[in-house]
Amino acid sequence: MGSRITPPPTSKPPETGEVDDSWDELVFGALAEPPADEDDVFDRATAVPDPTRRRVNLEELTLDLDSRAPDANEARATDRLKTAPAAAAAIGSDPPDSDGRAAVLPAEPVNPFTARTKMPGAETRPDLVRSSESPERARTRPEPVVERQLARVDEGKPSSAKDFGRAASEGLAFDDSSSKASPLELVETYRRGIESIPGAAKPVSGAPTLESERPSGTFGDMQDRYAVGDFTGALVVAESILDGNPEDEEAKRYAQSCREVLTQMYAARVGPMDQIATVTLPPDQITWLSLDHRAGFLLSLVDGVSSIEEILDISGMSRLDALRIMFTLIQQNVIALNH
Amino acid sequence: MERVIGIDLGTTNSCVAIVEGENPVVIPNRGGYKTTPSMVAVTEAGKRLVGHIAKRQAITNAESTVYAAKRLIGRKWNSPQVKNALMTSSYAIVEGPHDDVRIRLREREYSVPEVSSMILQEMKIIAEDYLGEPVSKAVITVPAYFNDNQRQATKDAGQIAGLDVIRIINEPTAASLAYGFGKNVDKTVAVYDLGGGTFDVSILEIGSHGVFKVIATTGDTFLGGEDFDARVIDWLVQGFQDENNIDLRQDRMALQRLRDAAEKAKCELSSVREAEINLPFIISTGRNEALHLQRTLVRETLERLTEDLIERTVSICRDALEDANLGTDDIDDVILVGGMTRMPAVQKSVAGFFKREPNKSVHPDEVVALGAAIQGAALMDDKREMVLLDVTPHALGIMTYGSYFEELIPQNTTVPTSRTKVFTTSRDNQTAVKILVMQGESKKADDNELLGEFILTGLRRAPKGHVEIEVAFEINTDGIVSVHAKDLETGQAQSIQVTASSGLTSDEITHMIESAKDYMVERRTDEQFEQAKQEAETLMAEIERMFPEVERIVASSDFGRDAISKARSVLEKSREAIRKKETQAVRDQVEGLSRTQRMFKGVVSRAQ
Repeated sequence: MGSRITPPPTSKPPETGEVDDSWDELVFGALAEPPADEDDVFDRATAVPDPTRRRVNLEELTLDLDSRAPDANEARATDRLKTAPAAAAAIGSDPPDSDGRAAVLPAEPVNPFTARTKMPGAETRPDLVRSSESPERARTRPEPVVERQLARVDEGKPSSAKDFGRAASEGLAFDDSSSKASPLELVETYRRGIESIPGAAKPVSGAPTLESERPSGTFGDMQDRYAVGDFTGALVVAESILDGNPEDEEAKRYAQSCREVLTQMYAARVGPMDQIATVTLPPDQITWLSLDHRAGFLLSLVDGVSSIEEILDISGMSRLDALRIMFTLIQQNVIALNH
Repeated sequence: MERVIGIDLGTTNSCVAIVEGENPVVIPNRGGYKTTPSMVAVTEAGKRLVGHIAKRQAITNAESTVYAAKRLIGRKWNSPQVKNALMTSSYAIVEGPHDDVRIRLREREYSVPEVSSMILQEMKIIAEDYLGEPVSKAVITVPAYFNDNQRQATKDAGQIAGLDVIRIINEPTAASLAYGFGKNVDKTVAVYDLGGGTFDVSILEIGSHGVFKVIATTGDTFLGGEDFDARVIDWLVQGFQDENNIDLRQDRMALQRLRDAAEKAKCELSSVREAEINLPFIISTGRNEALHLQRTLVRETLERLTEDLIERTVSICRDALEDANLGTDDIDDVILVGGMTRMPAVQKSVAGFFKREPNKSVHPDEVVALGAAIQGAALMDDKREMVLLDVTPHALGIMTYGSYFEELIPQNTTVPTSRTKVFTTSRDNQTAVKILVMQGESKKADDNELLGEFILTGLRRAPKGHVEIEVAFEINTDGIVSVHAKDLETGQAQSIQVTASSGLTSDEITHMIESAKDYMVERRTDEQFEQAKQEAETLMAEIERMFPEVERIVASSDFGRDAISKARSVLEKSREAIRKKETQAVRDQVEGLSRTQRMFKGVVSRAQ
C-alpha cells in the first residue's frame, strides 16, 4: 500500500545534520502550521525538527473516531490498530481490502428482546507507547498532504499564491495525449500550462517553521499535536482544556481550527455530498456490528433516498461527528454511496 | 388558461393537487410522497428545512422545529389556544407587536403566517416542478370553524408565498366536492376528518345551487394520529424499561427513532396484522454497550392501546348531530378524511355509529386537496358550472345589554348581503352607545370573537327604551363587513368598516413577501453552488488520492517539486472558494483542477 518514501538528500534538517528517515514529512505533516505561527517555509522538502521534541509514535497520528477526553483516549492501542486497521479508519491509513471488512467484535446476545453489543475498545487500553526508536513503524498512507493543505487554509493566512492574475504567455495546453511523454515531461508541461489559467494559484512558498517556543504542560501537548498534524489529538486536548476553563481563547481557537480541518478531511474522504447513501447489510447482520447509539441513529437515517448532505443536516450531532461516523460506516462497508 | 392549484394546508401534513384534463390529481413531492409534513425547521448552520426532512429531525432539533402552526394562525396572543400551545410546544412562542403571535427560531422571530407561507411555498415549488411552469393562483382550504381573522391570516400566508389565493374554502366542503357531491343533489353529509393532529366532524347540507351549508362543526384540535403514535411509543418505552431499566425518552435520538418507527408500524397495521419494530443500537449504556430494541406489534394490541381515542371521536360525532338537531338516520352519506381513517378500527367505529358504510373510494389524505383543485378549476372556467357560493362562515351581530349576542347575519348566509335591526337605549338619559361588532354562534357575547367597535354619540336625553337606534350590517363581495348605526330621530350616525386582521400590517406583509423571494433566489443560487462544488470536490478527491504517488515520482526534481507546489495551491484555492461559497470562484478553479487531475493521471499511468 504505497512504498516507503525517502526524503530527498536536499531535505536534510540543518539542525540535526543527519537524515532522519523515520521522519516522514508526508506522514508527520510537517508543513502544518499552528494558528499563531509565523514563518512559512513551505518550500523546504522537510520540516525542521526540534531535537528537543519527543518523537511521536506513528499511531498517534491516526484519527480516532471515538475521541474522548485525553486521558481516556490517549492510550490508543497499537494492537487495536493492527487487528482492525479498517475499523481504525485513520485518515492516513490504507483502505481496507476490497473483499475485506473491518474487523468487528461479534455481539454477545443475552436475551431475545434486546442484544448487547460491546463496542470496540471497551477493554482497557494500554498507554500509548512513545519510543524514540520505534522499530518498524507501520507507515501510514501519506494522506496527510490533505492535512497540510487544510491546515494552511485554516490558519487564516493568505495563500502564498498571491498573484493569481499572471497569465502565462506560453499558452501551452496540457497535452496528455502524447503517449511518449515521461512523467516529468508531463509535469513540466503542466507547470507551464497551469499558470495560463486565470485565477490559478502560484506555487506556495513552503512549510512553516516549527520554531515557536513550546509552552509546557497540556497546552504544549495541544500545540505539539497540532503542529505534527494530529488534529484529532489536538482537539481532544483543546476540549479538555475548555472543560476546565471554557473561556480559554487559545484553546477555543485550536479547537475550532481542528474541527474545521478534520471536517474537511472527512468530507474529502466521503466525497460529494449529493451522493445517496444506502445500507448494504441486511438488518440481522447490522446487530452484529460494533456501533454505539449515535452510529445507530445515523444509520437509521440512511434510507436510500436521502443524500449525505441531508443526512448530515438532520443527524442531530456536529457535522464533524456525523462525518466521522459516516466514514466509518463506509469503511466497514455498512453503507454504500451512489450518485 | 392559467392553472390553479388546490392546497390542503393541514395541521400535520399538506397536500397539493391540480385538475388535469377533467380529472383532479395529487402532485407528489420530490421524494414521491403525496403529502408533505407541515413542518419547518432551522438547523444550527442556519439552513431552513421544510417537509419530510424537517420531520426527521423534529425531536433532535425540537427547539428549532415548528409544527402545528395551524393551531396558532390568526389567533390573538391572549387566546386560550395560544396559552395551551405555550405549555405544550417545544419551540418558543412569543408575543408580537400587534397582540399577535410570533415564533422564535434560532435568533429570529417569525409571524405565524410567515411560517405557514414556508410550507405553502414548498407546495408551490412541488407544483411548479411537476408542471414545468410557474404557478401563481391557488385555492386553500381551512377548517370550517376558522373565523375571519384566521382565514385572512391563511390568505396572507399564501400571499407571502407568492400565491394569489383566489378562494378560501372549508375542508369538509372540499372533501364533499371531491366525492362529486353538489351536482344537482340535495344531501346531508357527515364529514369525519381524523388527521395527524386534529379531529373535526362537520354536518353539511348540500344544495343543488352550489350552496354548501355547514350546519354543525365540532371537534378536538388536540386529537389526531400523533396521539395514536404516542400510545405506541409509550408501549415500546415501557417494555424496554421493564427489560433494561432504561428510559428511552431521555435520549432525543432514541425518541426520534421511536417516533418514526411507531408511526410506520401504525400505518403498516392498517393493511397487515402485525408489524416488526427493529431499532438496533437504540441506546448506549454507560458500560460501553449498545442495546437493540426488537418488538412485534400486532393489530389487536394497537386497537387496545387506542380504543379510548376512537371512542372520543365517536362521542364528538354524537355532539355534532346534536348541534345540528339531526339523528343518524338523517345523514345521507359519510365521508372519511385524514390518514388515520385508514385504520380498520376507525372505519368500523364510524360505520357502527352512523349505521352505514362510509365513502372511502378517494384517498382520505388527498380528498381535501382534490376538492380544492376542483373548485380552483371551476373558478377559472368560464362556464362556472360548479362554483361554491361564498358564505359567511359564522354569524355576525352586536353585543347587547347583559353581554348577550344579538345576531344580525346568520351563519352560512351567501354574500353579498345586508341586514338591519333596530335597538334602543338601556339607561335613562343615555347619550352615547357603544357598538361592539362580534362574530360567532354563542348567545353569550364573551364566547364570540370581537371584530371591531365604535361609539355613536349625540343621542337625545330620554328615558330608556325611547331612543331608537338602527344598526345595519353589510358584507360586500370581497367579504368586507361594514356596520352602520343611526339615531332614527336625530339622524346622528356612525359607522365602521371591519376587515379581518391576521395581526400583520401591509408593510410587514410586503417585507415578508420580499424575504420569501430572496429565499427562493438564494435557494437557486445554492443549487448552482452545490453543482459547482460537487464537480470541484470530485476532482479534488481524485487529486488527493493520487498525490502521494505523484509526489514520490516527481519530487526528486526541482520543477517536479514546483509542479507539486502548484497543485497544492490549486487545491487550496479550491477549498477556499468552497468555504466562501463563491460559485464563480469555484467554477474558476475547476479548470485548474481538471488540468491537475489529468496531469496526475498521466504521471501515475506512465510511471507504471
